Amino acid sequence: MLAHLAEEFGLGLRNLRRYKLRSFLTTLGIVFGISSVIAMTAVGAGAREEILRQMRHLGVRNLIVNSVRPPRTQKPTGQENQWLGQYGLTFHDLDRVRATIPTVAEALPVHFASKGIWRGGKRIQGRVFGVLPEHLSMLNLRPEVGRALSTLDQEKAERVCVVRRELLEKLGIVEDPLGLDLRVGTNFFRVVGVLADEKFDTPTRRALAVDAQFSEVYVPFRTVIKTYGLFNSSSNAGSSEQTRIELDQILIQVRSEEEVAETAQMVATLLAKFHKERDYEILVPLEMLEQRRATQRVFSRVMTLIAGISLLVGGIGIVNIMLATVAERTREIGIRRALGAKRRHIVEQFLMETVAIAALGGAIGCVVGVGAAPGIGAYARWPTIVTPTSIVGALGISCVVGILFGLYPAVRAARLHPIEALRHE
Amino acid sequence: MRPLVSLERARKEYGEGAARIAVLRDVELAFLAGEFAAIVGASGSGKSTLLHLIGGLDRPTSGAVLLEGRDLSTLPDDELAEVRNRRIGFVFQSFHLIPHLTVLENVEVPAYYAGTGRRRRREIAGSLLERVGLGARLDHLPSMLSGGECQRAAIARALVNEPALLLADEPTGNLDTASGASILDLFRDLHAAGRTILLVTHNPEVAAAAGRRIEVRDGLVVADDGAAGEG
Repeated sequence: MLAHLAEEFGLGLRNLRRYKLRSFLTTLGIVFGISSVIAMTAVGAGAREEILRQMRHLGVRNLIVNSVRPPRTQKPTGQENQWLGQYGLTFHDLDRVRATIPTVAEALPVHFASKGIWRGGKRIQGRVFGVLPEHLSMLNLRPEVGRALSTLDQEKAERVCVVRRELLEKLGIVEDPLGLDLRVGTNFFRVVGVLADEKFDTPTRRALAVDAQFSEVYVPFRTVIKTYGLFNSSSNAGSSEQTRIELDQILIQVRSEEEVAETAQMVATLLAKFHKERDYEILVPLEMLEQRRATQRVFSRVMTLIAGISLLVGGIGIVNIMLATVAERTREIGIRRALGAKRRHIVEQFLMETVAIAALGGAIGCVVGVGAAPGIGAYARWPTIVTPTSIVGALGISCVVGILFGLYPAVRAARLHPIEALRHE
Repeated sequence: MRPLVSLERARKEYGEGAARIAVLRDVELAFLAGEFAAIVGASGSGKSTLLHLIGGLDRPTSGAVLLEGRDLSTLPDDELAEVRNRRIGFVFQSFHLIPHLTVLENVEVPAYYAGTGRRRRREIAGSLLERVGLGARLDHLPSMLSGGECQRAAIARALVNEPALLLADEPTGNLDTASGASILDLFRDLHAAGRTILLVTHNPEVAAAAGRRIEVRDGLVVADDGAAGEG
């Protein structure tokens, strides 16, 4: 039986080759349908992977409060070249969050300092993150070499740091980085740990205040305050400005995922009470994730719809062409019936021919889909992963479409009366 | 001796109501194994219909068609297909080879439906084609053969499942005299080798080659020079 079907399938393929253009046009619908299936699953798998990564680094139980420059910053008149402003989160805010919001499990202060990082004559732009020891583990950042920052580092305000591998590469450091003294601004910090490079997506980068333009250097919180103070000066197009920001970020971990929304609300209320201006923003990773999941769901639905419509249209095309084929080959059907073909043999023959068309379309669709997936991913701004399962599944779907839409023409062919079919011109 | 095939009051009607016409009217006929019989008659006389009933391609409106003791008129479709496949070999006026299959593949078709394995099929079909003189044409498409060669291939195809009965409908009708004569020789050889052959023709020469001549007119057998089963 299986050998017979294989033979009919082979014969079907041969018939396709006889009418190359016609067969190709017939497969187009299936090609589009199957490539959408492949692209859809690839985008879906990529999005899931990305969401998992995001969850790992931002944490579903975390809240991130960042200091932001308030929208209305008036420069005091007469002092255009030098402006001294204070805004953002304060130590008081941190204390209040810790003291008054019961659902907060942990609240960690972060202070940034933008500094040049030197190595010989080479200088790269760096951002020093003054953090508590718990910071790295809360964001699931584990050094791949060396150690994380410790409580002792914090208490003694040690001049130690944890850097990204990328920073070492940028500075051309090839030797063992551990124990190396890194010049940051005018001070030296000893490297105690190296983090693996990560490719964050835009929302994650923004939330964590990391940027491809500068390299991250993690230093104990106390060390940063002691070394650089709270003032940050920057010069831009001839005018320099001095700003005072106590805390650039407060990282909050909520006791449980269910209390995240409620806690975010409480933090917002609390901060609003003590800030005249809106010089902070509250980011809720959980919300971002949910938004992203929703986007992905919409995307999946659209792709499913496209795939479904394409397959339907492709299937109708197959029915159409197979009805024409049956009409064209009526005499052949009569001959086969006269020579002893049972109805089921005729059904098998035409069914295998449609399956051949559909499988061919499916195969082309897989190639197109695998090729198109990265493009669609780039458009949707998330990576795509083509899994072997999706290819096998897509080929299976195309065969099912072939059988489904081939059944009617095949049964019609089998119902022909042998003598009438033989007389057909 | 039981006849190989017999028709008992076989009647075939077409059409509905007033337009209904009887193509065969209660025909009684019997053939013994090993006979070579020719059915002659004008076109429209019902001779082709007679052949179709005997070959299980069609069922009588009433009456019975017995082949090797089984009544074909009551067999379900699948079993009738099996009878056509294993017990009958058909040869048609316009050859009826499948145009996109090679000569060898055409001859294999009945064996394929009989469930014969691919290699065995090739062997049998190849040797039959050798026997009808087409050993050098196995991989040709029918369109590359002459009419006579096509009919030889069709005869090889009819023989591939070792049928009990060979039925031919105007086998020389589309051939020139020389090819027709050689096809007729082939039928003679087959008969000499013990085949039972029943052919429909309006060519007197072909009819003369057969050992028995049956004339059909207006759906009735009007002459039969060697009715089997009477003796």
